[in-house]
Amino acid sequence: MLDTLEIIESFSYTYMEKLSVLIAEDDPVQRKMLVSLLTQLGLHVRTAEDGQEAWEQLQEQPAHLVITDWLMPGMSGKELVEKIRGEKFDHYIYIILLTSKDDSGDLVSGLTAGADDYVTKPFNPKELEARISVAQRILKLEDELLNTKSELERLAAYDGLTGLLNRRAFTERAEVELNRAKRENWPAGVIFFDIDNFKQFNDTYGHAVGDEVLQHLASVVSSAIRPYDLFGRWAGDEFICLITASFEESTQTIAERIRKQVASSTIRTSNGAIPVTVSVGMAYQNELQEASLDALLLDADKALYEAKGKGRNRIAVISN
Amino acid sequence: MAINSSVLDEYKEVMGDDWGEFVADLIDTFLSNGPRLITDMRQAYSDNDLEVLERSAHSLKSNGKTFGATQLADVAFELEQMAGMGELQDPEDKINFADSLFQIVKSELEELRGTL
Repeated sequence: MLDTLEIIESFSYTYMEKLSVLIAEDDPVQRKMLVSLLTQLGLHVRTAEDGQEAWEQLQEQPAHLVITDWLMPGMSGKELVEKIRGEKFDHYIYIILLTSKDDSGDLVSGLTAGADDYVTKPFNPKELEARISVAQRILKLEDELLNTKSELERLAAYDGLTGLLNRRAFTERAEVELNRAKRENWPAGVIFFDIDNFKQFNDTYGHAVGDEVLQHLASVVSSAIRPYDLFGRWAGDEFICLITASFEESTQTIAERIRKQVASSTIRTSNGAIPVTVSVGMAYQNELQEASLDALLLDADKALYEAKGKGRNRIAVISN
Repeated sequence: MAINSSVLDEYKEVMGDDWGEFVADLIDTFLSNGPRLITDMRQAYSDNDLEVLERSAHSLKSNGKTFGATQLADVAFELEQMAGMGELQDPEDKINFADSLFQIVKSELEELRGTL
Protein backbone atom coordinates (compact mmCIF):
# COMPACT_ATOMS: atom_id res chain seq x y z
CA MET A 1 0.00 0.00 0.00
CA LEU A 2 2.88 2.33 0.76
CA ASP A 3 4.28 1.43 -2.66
CA THR A 4 1.13 2.70 -4.35
CA LEU A 5 1.40 5.98 -2.46
CA GLU A 6 5.03 6.36 -3.41
CA ILE A 7 4.25 5.76 -7.04
CA ILE A 8 1.44 8.30 -6.95
CA GLU A 9 3.74 10.87 -5.43
CA SER A 10 6.42 10.35 -8.01
CA PHE A 11 3.99 10.27 -10.90
CA SER A 12 1.28 12.69 -9.98
CA TYR A 13 1.33 16.07 -11.60
CA THR A 14 -0.85 19.07 -11.71
CA TYR A 15 0.94 21.18 -14.24
CA MET A 16 1.77 20.62 -17.89
CA GLU A 17 5.46 20.89 -16.98
CA LYS A 18 5.56 17.63 -15.10
CA LEU A 19 3.98 15.56 -17.84
CA SER A 20 6.49 13.19 -19.39
CA VAL A 21 6.11 12.37 -23.07
CA LEU A 22 7.60 9.73 -25.32
CA ILE A 23 7.52 10.44 -29.06
CA ALA A 24 7.78 7.54 -31.48
CA GLU A 25 8.45 8.93 -34.95
CA ASP A 26 10.89 7.71 -37.57
CA ASP A 27 11.04 10.84 -39.75
CA PRO A 28 13.62 13.34 -38.41
CA VAL A 29 11.77 16.45 -39.61
CA GLN A 30 8.48 15.41 -38.00
CA ARG A 31 10.29 14.33 -34.90
CA LYS A 32 12.03 17.68 -34.58
CA MET A 33 8.77 19.55 -34.98
CA LEU A 34 7.21 17.59 -32.17
CA VAL A 35 10.18 17.90 -29.87
CA SER A 36 10.44 21.66 -30.39
CA LEU A 37 6.73 22.19 -29.87
CA LEU A 38 6.42 20.02 -26.78
CA THR A 39 9.60 21.38 -25.22
CA GLN A 40 8.28 24.89 -25.80
CA LEU A 41 5.12 23.84 -23.94
CA GLY A 42 7.28 22.90 -20.97
CA LEU A 43 6.92 19.14 -21.22
CA HIS A 44 9.58 16.57 -20.51
CA VAL A 45 10.23 14.93 -23.86
CA ARG A 46 11.98 11.74 -24.99
CA THR A 47 12.13 10.31 -28.46
CA ALA A 48 12.33 6.93 -30.16
CA GLU A 49 12.86 6.32 -33.85
CA ASP A 50 10.70 3.25 -34.09
CA GLY A 51 8.19 1.14 -32.21
CA GLN A 52 10.72 -1.27 -30.77
CA GLU A 53 12.89 1.50 -29.36
CA ALA A 54 9.80 3.18 -27.90
CA TRP A 55 8.73 -0.06 -26.26
CA GLU A 56 12.17 -0.67 -24.75
CA GLN A 57 12.28 2.87 -23.40
CA LEU A 58 8.89 2.43 -21.76
CA GLN A 59 10.09 -0.72 -20.07
CA GLU A 60 12.97 1.16 -18.55
CA GLN A 61 11.22 4.38 -17.76
CA PRO A 62 7.49 4.81 -18.25
CA ALA A 63 5.91 7.97 -19.66
CA HIS A 64 2.54 9.56 -18.97
CA LEU A 65 1.88 10.22 -22.64
CA VAL A 66 2.99 8.48 -25.81
CA ILE A 67 2.65 10.24 -29.16
CA THR A 68 3.25 7.78 -31.94
CA ASP A 69 3.33 7.75 -35.69
CA TRP A 70 1.58 4.95 -37.50
CA LEU A 71 4.06 3.81 -40.09
CA MET A 72 7.46 3.01 -38.63
CA PRO A 73 10.18 0.47 -39.42
CA GLY A 74 9.96 -2.79 -37.49
CA MET A 75 7.16 -2.43 -34.98
CA SER A 76 4.37 -0.23 -36.33
CA GLY A 77 2.45 2.34 -34.31
CA LYS A 78 -0.49 -0.03 -34.10
CA GLU A 79 1.68 -2.83 -32.72
CA LEU A 80 3.17 -0.41 -30.19
CA VAL A 81 -0.32 0.59 -29.06
CA GLU A 82 -1.35 -3.04 -28.73
CA LYS A 83 1.75 -3.86 -26.72
CA ILE A 84 1.23 -0.94 -24.36
CA ARG A 85 -2.37 -1.90 -23.75
CA GLY A 86 -1.39 -5.51 -23.30
CA GLU A 87 0.95 -4.80 -20.42
CA LYS A 88 0.24 -3.57 -16.94
CA PHE A 89 2.12 -0.41 -16.11
CA ASP A 90 1.98 1.35 -12.75
CA HIS A 91 -0.38 3.89 -14.19
CA TYR A 92 -2.37 4.61 -17.33
CA ILE A 93 -0.40 5.62 -20.41
CA TYR A 94 -2.32 8.03 -22.62
CA ILE A 95 -1.70 7.46 -26.32
CA ILE A 96 -2.11 9.98 -29.11
CA LEU A 97 -1.81 8.74 -32.66
CA LEU A 98 -0.35 10.73 -35.55
CA THR A 99 -2.42 9.95 -38.61
CA SER A 100 -2.66 11.08 -42.19
CA LYS A 101 -5.75 12.73 -43.58
CA ASP A 102 -5.99 10.06 -46.21
CA ASP A 103 -6.07 7.05 -43.93
CA SER A 104 -9.38 6.78 -42.14
CA GLY A 105 -8.85 3.04 -41.89
CA ASP A 106 -5.77 3.61 -39.79
CA LEU A 107 -7.67 5.92 -37.52
CA VAL A 108 -10.37 3.40 -36.69
CA SER A 109 -7.98 0.50 -36.17
CA GLY A 110 -5.71 2.74 -34.08
CA LEU A 111 -8.47 3.79 -31.71
CA THR A 112 -9.74 0.23 -31.55
CA ALA A 113 -6.25 -1.03 -30.75
CA GLY A 114 -6.22 1.29 -27.76
CA ALA A 115 -5.12 4.77 -28.74
CA ASP A 116 -6.98 7.49 -26.83
CA ASP A 117 -6.92 10.24 -29.41
CA TYR A 118 -5.38 11.26 -32.71
CA VAL A 119 -4.11 14.28 -34.60
CA THR A 120 -3.94 14.49 -38.35
CA LYS A 121 -0.67 15.50 -39.94
CA PRO A 122 0.32 18.20 -40.57
CA PHE A 123 -1.29 19.14 -37.30
CA ASN A 124 -2.05 22.58 -36.00
CA PRO A 125 0.15 23.13 -32.92
CA LYS A 126 -2.74 24.63 -30.96
CA GLU A 127 -4.82 21.57 -31.65
CA LEU A 128 -2.12 19.25 -30.37
CA GLU A 129 -1.72 21.44 -27.32
CA ALA A 130 -5.45 21.19 -26.66
CA ARG A 131 -5.44 17.43 -27.03
CA ILE A 132 -2.56 17.21 -24.60
CA SER A 133 -4.68 19.15 -22.09
CA VAL A 134 -7.34 16.53 -22.55
CA ALA A 135 -4.75 13.87 -21.85
CA GLN A 136 -3.82 15.72 -18.68
CA ARG A 137 -7.41 15.80 -17.57
CA ILE A 138 -7.82 12.08 -18.05
CA LEU A 139 -4.54 11.30 -16.32
CA LYS A 140 -5.56 13.51 -13.39
CA LEU A 141 -8.81 11.57 -13.09
CA GLU A 142 -6.86 8.37 -12.97
CA ASP A 143 -4.59 9.81 -10.28
CA GLU A 144 -7.61 10.67 -8.17
CA LEU A 145 -9.02 7.21 -8.68
CA LEU A 146 -5.80 5.62 -7.50
CA ASN A 147 -5.73 7.89 -4.47
CA THR A 148 -9.31 7.03 -3.61
CA LYS A 149 -8.54 3.35 -4.04
CA SER A 150 -5.63 3.41 -1.60
CA GLU A 151 -7.63 5.50 0.83
CA LEU A 152 -10.39 2.91 0.68
CA GLU A 153 -7.88 0.12 1.19
CA ARG A 154 -6.54 1.96 4.19
CA LEU A 155 -9.97 2.50 5.68
CA ALA A 156 -10.82 -1.13 5.12
CA ALA A 157 -7.73 -2.36 6.92
CA TYR A 158 -7.29 0.03 9.80
CA ASP A 159 -9.29 0.71 12.90
CA GLY A 160 -10.58 4.26 12.82
CA LEU A 161 -10.10 5.02 16.50
CA THR A 162 -6.64 3.64 17.20
CA GLY A 163 -5.08 3.53 13.72
CA LEU A 164 -4.13 -0.10 14.33
CA LEU A 165 -4.87 -2.97 11.98
CA ASN A 166 -8.44 -4.11 12.33
CA ARG A 167 -9.25 -7.73 13.06
CA ARG A 168 -9.73 -8.78 9.45
CA ALA A 169 -6.53 -7.13 8.21
CA PHE A 170 -4.55 -8.45 11.16
CA THR A 171 -5.76 -11.99 10.52
CA GLU A 172 -4.94 -11.79 6.80
CA ARG A 173 -1.44 -10.54 7.46
CA ALA A 174 -0.87 -12.91 10.34
CA GLU A 175 -1.63 -15.85 8.03
CA VAL A 176 0.95 -14.57 5.56
CA GLU A 177 3.55 -14.05 8.28
CA LEU A 178 2.95 -17.47 9.76
CA ASN A 179 3.29 -19.15 6.40
CA ARG A 180 6.57 -17.41 5.94
CA ALA A 181 7.72 -18.39 9.41
CA LYS A 182 6.85 -22.00 8.59
CA ARG A 183 8.91 -21.85 5.41
CA GLU A 184 11.86 -20.39 7.30
CA ASN A 185 11.35 -22.66 10.28
CA TRP A 186 10.93 -19.82 12.72
CA PRO A 187 8.95 -20.03 15.95
CA ALA A 188 6.02 -17.70 16.55
CA GLY A 189 4.05 -16.27 19.39
CA VAL A 190 0.76 -14.46 19.85
CA ILE A 191 0.19 -11.93 22.64
CA PHE A 192 -3.38 -11.14 23.58
CA PHE A 193 -4.14 -8.41 26.08
CA ASP A 194 -7.07 -6.42 27.25
CA ILE A 195 -7.74 -3.63 29.68
CA ASP A 196 -8.56 -4.69 33.22
CA ASN A 197 -12.09 -3.74 34.29
CA PHE A 198 -12.77 -1.79 31.17
CA LYS A 199 -16.51 -2.08 31.53
CA GLN A 200 -16.44 -0.34 34.92
CA PHE A 201 -14.14 2.17 33.37
CA ASN A 202 -16.66 3.17 30.75
CA ASP A 203 -19.42 3.20 33.35
CA THR A 204 -17.42 5.49 35.63
CA TYR A 205 -15.80 7.83 33.17
CA GLY A 206 -17.95 7.53 30.06
CA HIS A 207 -17.23 6.17 26.62
CA ALA A 208 -15.41 9.25 25.38
CA VAL A 209 -12.75 8.76 28.03
CA GLY A 210 -12.77 5.04 27.31
CA ASP A 211 -11.94 5.83 23.69
CA GLU A 212 -9.07 8.06 24.75
CA VAL A 213 -7.67 5.25 26.85
CA LEU A 214 -7.82 2.89 23.89
CA GLN A 215 -5.92 5.41 21.78
CA HIS A 216 -3.27 5.92 24.40
CA LEU A 217 -2.90 2.20 24.85
CA ALA A 218 -2.28 1.76 21.15
CA SER A 219 0.56 4.24 21.19
CA VAL A 220 2.11 3.10 24.48
CA VAL A 221 2.19 -0.52 23.34
CA SER A 222 3.46 0.36 19.86
CA SER A 223 6.69 1.47 21.47
CA ALA A 224 6.95 -1.80 23.39
CA ILE A 225 7.09 -3.96 20.29
CA ARG A 226 9.36 -4.01 17.24
CA PRO A 227 8.35 -2.30 13.97
CA TYR A 228 8.10 -5.61 12.16
CA ASP A 229 5.76 -7.21 14.68
CA LEU A 230 2.07 -7.19 13.81
CA PHE A 231 -0.18 -5.21 16.12
CA GLY A 232 -3.92 -4.96 15.82
CA ARG A 233 -7.12 -4.13 17.60
CA TRP A 234 -8.96 -7.38 17.98
CA ALA A 235 -12.27 -6.22 19.44
CA GLY A 236 -13.55 -3.64 21.93
CA ASP A 237 -10.69 -3.37 24.40
CA GLU A 238 -8.83 -6.47 23.22
CA PHE A 239 -5.54 -6.13 21.40
CA ILE A 240 -3.31 -8.64 19.70
CA CYS A 241 0.31 -8.97 18.58
CA LEU A 242 2.05 -11.50 16.41
CA ILE A 243 5.72 -11.99 17.22
CA THR A 244 7.73 -14.16 14.85
CA ALA A 245 11.32 -15.33 14.75
CA SER A 246 12.00 -14.69 18.41
CA PHE A 247 13.02 -16.98 21.23
CA GLU A 248 10.40 -17.74 23.82
CA GLU A 249 12.30 -15.73 26.37
CA SER A 250 12.41 -12.66 24.17
CA THR A 251 8.75 -13.00 23.35
CA GLN A 252 7.94 -13.21 27.00
CA THR A 253 10.07 -10.12 27.58
CA ILE A 254 7.91 -8.29 25.09
CA ALA A 255 4.73 -9.49 26.83
CA GLU A 256 6.07 -8.30 30.16
CA ARG A 257 7.17 -5.01 28.68
CA ILE A 258 3.68 -4.42 27.37
CA ARG A 259 2.18 -5.07 30.77
CA LYS A 260 4.74 -2.90 32.54
CA GLN A 261 4.61 0.04 30.16
CA VAL A 262 0.86 0.24 30.47
CA ALA A 263 0.92 -0.11 34.24
CA SER A 264 3.66 2.45 34.77
CA SER A 265 2.48 5.05 32.33
CA THR A 266 -0.19 7.41 33.47
CA ILE A 267 -2.72 7.69 30.78
CA ARG A 268 -3.72 11.30 30.58
CA THR A 269 -7.24 11.88 29.51
CA SER A 270 -9.55 14.86 29.52
CA ASN A 271 -10.58 13.50 32.92
CA GLY A 272 -7.13 13.78 34.42
CA ALA A 273 -4.55 11.03 34.92
CA ILE A 274 -6.07 7.58 35.20
CA PRO A 275 -4.31 4.38 36.19
CA VAL A 276 -4.81 1.58 33.70
CA THR A 277 -3.58 -1.98 33.66
CA VAL A 278 -3.80 -4.86 31.22
CA SER A 279 -3.86 -8.61 31.56
CA VAL A 280 -1.68 -10.38 29.02
CA GLY A 281 -1.96 -13.87 27.59
CA MET A 282 0.88 -15.23 25.52
CA ALA A 283 0.92 -18.35 23.35
CA TYR A 284 4.18 -19.66 21.96
CA GLN A 285 4.81 -22.35 19.40
CA ASN A 286 8.29 -23.81 19.00
CA GLU A 287 7.38 -26.38 16.40
CA LEU A 288 5.88 -24.10 13.86
CA GLN A 289 5.07 -26.86 11.45
CA GLU A 290 2.48 -27.95 13.98
CA ALA A 291 1.04 -24.53 14.48
CA SER A 292 -1.90 -22.70 13.04
CA LEU A 293 -3.10 -19.20 13.72
CA ASP A 294 -6.30 -20.57 15.23
CA ALA A 295 -4.39 -22.77 17.64
CA LEU A 296 -2.20 -19.88 18.72
CA LEU A 297 -5.22 -17.66 19.21
CA LEU A 298 -6.94 -20.28 21.26
CA ASP A 299 -3.95 -20.70 23.52
CA ALA A 300 -3.41 -16.97 23.85
CA ASP A 301 -7.02 -16.60 24.86
CA LYS A 302 -6.66 -19.33 27.45
CA ALA A 303 -3.53 -17.68 28.79
CA LEU A 304 -5.31 -14.34 29.01
CA TYR A 305 -8.12 -15.96 30.94
CA GLU A 306 -5.54 -17.45 33.27
CA ALA A 307 -3.92 -14.05 33.84
CA LYS A 308 -7.28 -12.52 34.68
CA GLY A 309 -8.08 -15.35 37.05
CA LYS A 310 -4.78 -14.91 38.90
CA GLY A 311 -5.46 -11.29 39.74
CA ARG A 312 -5.00 -9.18 36.61
CA ASN A 313 -2.15 -6.84 35.71
CA ARG A 314 0.06 -9.81 34.92
CA ILE A 315 1.08 -12.12 32.13
CA ALA A 316 0.43 -15.81 31.62
CA VAL A 317 2.15 -18.02 29.10
CA ILE A 318 1.15 -21.21 27.32
CA SER A 319 3.96 -22.64 25.25
CA ASN A 320 4.27 -25.66 23.03
CA MET B 1 6.16 28.95 -55.71
CA ALA B 2 6.62 25.30 -54.92
CA ILE B 3 6.45 25.89 -51.18
CA ASN B 4 4.34 27.88 -48.79
CA SER B 5 4.72 28.60 -45.13
CA SER B 6 1.11 28.34 -43.99
CA VAL B 7 1.74 25.23 -41.87
CA LEU B 8 4.88 26.67 -40.31
CA ASP B 9 3.23 30.04 -39.74
CA GLU B 10 0.89 28.33 -37.27
CA TYR B 11 3.92 27.82 -35.04
CA LYS B 12 4.73 31.52 -34.84
CA GLU B 13 2.63 32.12 -31.77
CA VAL B 14 3.86 29.24 -29.68
CA MET B 15 7.51 29.46 -30.73
CA GLY B 16 7.70 33.23 -30.34
CA ASP B 17 11.19 34.59 -30.97
CA ASP B 18 12.49 31.08 -31.56
CA TRP B 19 10.35 30.61 -34.66
CA GLY B 20 13.11 31.60 -37.10
CA GLU B 21 15.55 29.16 -35.59
CA PHE B 22 12.85 26.51 -35.43
CA VAL B 23 12.09 26.76 -39.16
CA ALA B 24 15.76 26.98 -40.11
CA ASP B 25 16.41 23.80 -38.18
CA LEU B 26 13.55 22.00 -39.92
CA ILE B 27 14.73 23.12 -43.33
CA ASP B 28 18.26 21.92 -42.60
CA THR B 29 16.97 18.57 -41.48
CA PHE B 30 14.76 18.17 -44.53
CA LEU B 31 17.45 19.19 -46.96
CA SER B 32 19.88 16.69 -45.49
CA ASN B 33 17.31 13.91 -45.13
CA GLY B 34 15.28 14.47 -48.30
CA PRO B 35 17.81 13.13 -50.80
CA ARG B 36 18.09 10.00 -48.69
CA LEU B 37 14.35 9.45 -48.94
CA ILE B 38 14.58 9.60 -52.73
CA THR B 39 17.54 7.22 -52.77
CA ASP B 40 15.76 4.86 -50.37
CA MET B 41 12.75 4.77 -52.67
CA ARG B 42 14.91 3.93 -55.69
CA GLN B 43 16.74 1.25 -53.75
CA ALA B 44 13.48 -0.13 -52.35
CA TYR B 45 12.03 -0.39 -55.85
CA SER B 46 15.04 -2.30 -57.13
CA ASP B 47 14.97 -4.55 -54.03
CA ASN B 48 11.22 -4.90 -54.41
CA ASP B 49 10.90 -3.82 -50.77
CA LEU B 50 7.40 -2.41 -50.71
CA GLU B 51 7.55 -1.61 -47.02
CA VAL B 52 10.55 0.69 -47.28
CA LEU B 53 9.14 2.27 -50.42
CA GLU B 54 5.86 2.97 -48.68
CA ARG B 55 7.51 4.41 -45.59
CA SER B 56 9.90 6.66 -47.47
CA ALA B 57 7.10 7.93 -49.67
CA HIS B 58 5.00 8.52 -46.57
CA SER B 59 7.79 10.56 -44.94
CA LEU B 60 8.31 12.57 -48.09
CA LYS B 61 4.59 13.26 -48.22
CA SER B 62 4.49 14.46 -44.58
CA ASN B 63 7.49 16.67 -45.08
CA GLY B 64 6.08 18.01 -48.34
CA LYS B 65 2.89 19.00 -46.55
CA THR B 66 4.88 20.60 -43.75
CA PHE B 67 6.58 22.97 -46.19
CA GLY B 68 3.48 23.52 -48.29
CA ALA B 69 5.06 21.63 -51.20
CA THR B 70 1.73 20.21 -52.31
CA GLN B 71 2.81 18.86 -55.67
CA LEU B 72 5.68 16.97 -54.12
CA ALA B 73 3.36 15.71 -51.37
CA ASP B 74 0.82 14.52 -53.93
CA VAL B 75 3.36 12.55 -55.95
CA ALA B 76 4.76 11.04 -52.77
CA PHE B 77 1.24 10.07 -51.78
CA GLU B 78 0.71 8.27 -55.07
CA LEU B 79 3.90 6.33 -54.52
CA GLU B 80 2.84 5.54 -50.96
CA GLN B 81 -0.50 4.21 -52.16
CA MET B 82 1.05 2.12 -54.93
CA ALA B 83 3.51 0.52 -52.52
CA GLY B 84 0.84 0.05 -49.88
CA MET B 85 -1.47 -1.77 -52.25
CA GLY B 86 1.38 -3.73 -53.82
CA GLU B 87 0.63 -2.35 -57.27
CA LEU B 88 3.90 -1.01 -58.58
CA GLN B 89 3.34 0.27 -62.12
CA ASP B 90 6.55 1.95 -63.24
CA PRO B 91 7.23 3.80 -60.04
CA GLU B 92 10.56 4.80 -61.51
CA ASP B 93 8.97 7.62 -63.48
CA LYS B 94 7.17 8.88 -60.43
CA ILE B 95 10.30 8.66 -58.31
CA ASN B 96 12.21 10.66 -60.87
CA PHE B 97 9.42 13.20 -60.96
CA ALA B 98 9.44 13.39 -57.16
CA ASP B 99 13.18 13.93 -57.31
CA SER B 100 12.92 16.82 -59.73
CA LEU B 101 10.16 18.40 -57.65
CA PHE B 102 12.36 17.98 -54.61
CA GLN B 103 15.16 19.89 -56.34
CA ILE B 104 12.84 22.85 -56.94
CA VAL B 105 11.56 22.72 -53.38
CA LYS B 106 15.12 22.49 -52.17
CA SER B 107 16.22 25.68 -53.89
CA GLU B 108 13.19 27.60 -52.64
CA LEU B 109 13.78 26.36 -49.12
CA GLU B 110 17.41 27.39 -49.34
CA GLU B 111 16.24 30.84 -50.32
CA LEU B 112 13.83 30.94 -47.38
CA ARG B 113 16.56 29.68 -45.12
CA GLY B 114 18.72 32.60 -46.12
CA THR B 115 16.13 35.05 -44.81
CA LEU B 116 15.87 33.47 -41.35
